[in-house]
Amino acid sequence: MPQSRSSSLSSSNPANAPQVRHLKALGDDTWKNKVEKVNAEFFHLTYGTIVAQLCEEYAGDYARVNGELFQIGYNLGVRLIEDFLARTALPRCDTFLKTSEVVSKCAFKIFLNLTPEVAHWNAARDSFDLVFGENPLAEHVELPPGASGQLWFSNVLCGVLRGALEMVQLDCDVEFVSDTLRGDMSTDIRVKLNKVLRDEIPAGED
Amino acid sequence: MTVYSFWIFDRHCNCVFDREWTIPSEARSGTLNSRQNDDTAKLLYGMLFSLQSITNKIADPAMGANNVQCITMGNFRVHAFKTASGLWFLLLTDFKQQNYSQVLQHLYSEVYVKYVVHNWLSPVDFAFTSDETQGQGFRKIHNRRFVAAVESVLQPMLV
Amino acid sequence: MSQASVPGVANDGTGAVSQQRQYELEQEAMPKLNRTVFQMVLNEIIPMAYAVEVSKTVQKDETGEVAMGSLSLESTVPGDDNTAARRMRSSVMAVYNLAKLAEEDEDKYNSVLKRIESLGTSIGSKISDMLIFAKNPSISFKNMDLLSVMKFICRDVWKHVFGKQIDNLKTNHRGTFYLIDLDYAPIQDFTVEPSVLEEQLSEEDLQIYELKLVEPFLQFPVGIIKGVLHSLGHPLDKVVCLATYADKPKEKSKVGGFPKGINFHVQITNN
Repeated sequence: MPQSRSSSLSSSNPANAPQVRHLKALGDDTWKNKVEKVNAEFFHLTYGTIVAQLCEEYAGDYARVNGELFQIGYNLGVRLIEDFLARTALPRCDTFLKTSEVVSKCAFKIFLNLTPEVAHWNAARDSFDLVFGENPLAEHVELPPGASGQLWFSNVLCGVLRGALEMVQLDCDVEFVSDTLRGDMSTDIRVKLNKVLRDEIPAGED
Repeated sequence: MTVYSFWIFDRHCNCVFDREWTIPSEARSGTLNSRQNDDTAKLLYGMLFSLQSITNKIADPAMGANNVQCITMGNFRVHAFKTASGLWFLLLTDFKQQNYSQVLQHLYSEVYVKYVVHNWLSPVDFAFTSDETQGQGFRKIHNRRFVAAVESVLQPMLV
Repeated sequence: MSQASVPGVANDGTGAVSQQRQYELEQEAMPKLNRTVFQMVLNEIIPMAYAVEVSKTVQKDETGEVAMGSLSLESTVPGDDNTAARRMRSSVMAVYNLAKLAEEDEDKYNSVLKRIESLGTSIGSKISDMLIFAKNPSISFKNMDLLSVMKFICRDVWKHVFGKQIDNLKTNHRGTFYLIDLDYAPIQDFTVEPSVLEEQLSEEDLQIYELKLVEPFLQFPVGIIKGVLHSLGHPLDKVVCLATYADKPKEKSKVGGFPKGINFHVQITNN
């Protein structure tokens, strides 16, 4: 399905406002009424334990830990996307701007009860950042010495986004660019669209 | 309302599930993931694919998603539901009921998501290598609880 | 006005009820997230535990892909969707890994199960600490006897972690307990997918194989139980916990759930 680009990509464009409000309402309503909930702290401690165990197993090879966290996220993302689409019945986004809104206002809301800000669009309008204040998965976490500068604690989120977006034909690079755990001002995930994947066609059709 | 058959196609143009009731009111009749249906599956997919391509060419993209929903033939109807993740759910039925989109969405969210997506013993991708993409795949969803759930949703609609 | 009440002790009724209500309100106000996500992460621990085991004992090839021996699928695919093709295989590999794990030699198998259990133990003991800290007025943690600890696991821990309580608790009052969960939540939708197998198995063999595939998943709640016991004064080396499958009585089982329940046999050696 061809992806068109709307001419104005700013969130404040009035033409987009009703769509954005609708997405926010969808996210909020689904979270409120259709989701079984668990205390976030249990999830945070579970995830923190997984990260700690990986750090121990890989004996300080943080690149490998980041990779493992990304892979876990990817495996989760390719499944979560179906759960998400079944809950929301959303179609494919016709602009990357819409994608950013769906991700920040619906997906993060429905799954983690968070609504990161979308910011730092680049000039080509094919890259945006999801901005969290504190690291969303790292309550009361202190990085082990030596990890700061190398470990991306919540790298699972990048894998999830990469996997989920790929299933809707968006080939994106997703990575952390800052982390409050490292002493940065905010926790930012950069989502960059490499290309829109063409839908497969039966062999011999083209 | 009579349901004649149910098909699922994935993002690799492969038929990953088919159930056909050859004797309409006989629940136990028919085929399940049968190789006999391979040709029919390819034709069905080809038809969907062509119609969808034409739709995309003539429709205004600004109007949003424009998936094929219903194709009416002389003697039966094809109801289609496409997910943003590239899955097609199809029902072939008679004319008694106008709209099957709720049934199809139910099959997606309560059967496929439950027994395939939330099932760690099942892959969510049935093309294991690149040779199995672009309609060249052959693997189907055989897991027994998925099959049983499809039966229990669609059996009441066989008569 | 009721006098100041001792935490956890019911006195004139009014004080205890309002404390309970206050605890409930505090719990409701705590930040939450989607239980589906939590459960999926718990499940992903199992293929991850195997992947870690393999990657610690296998060399990486030059492209950075981890070779998987007989399960190695194509590592290079012609065409411009190279990255997509590689990723496709990895999500299928997670399922292959479970099959491969079931066939591993004893040492490797046990090593993976140990890893899963130890994650469960760490998480169990931390969750236990967290629940103790939350000061639920209807639970008294001071001088908790063993039976009360087991009840705490069956009701509170299980409810928080798995969304439901243990169905049945049996004991011989001499340090042996059986905790039976007829519908262990994380595995409820699991079913073996025959198309992943290389050979055709009979329906009966498929079901046996399915139970084998799911076995590693049971080490996680085993770890949870041991972790909670550890946090409440029963060291790991004094506790034995084994999970086996339990038949579901027809009347009690949820229609269409996983065919077996889980029986956790816990034995605590006296200190």
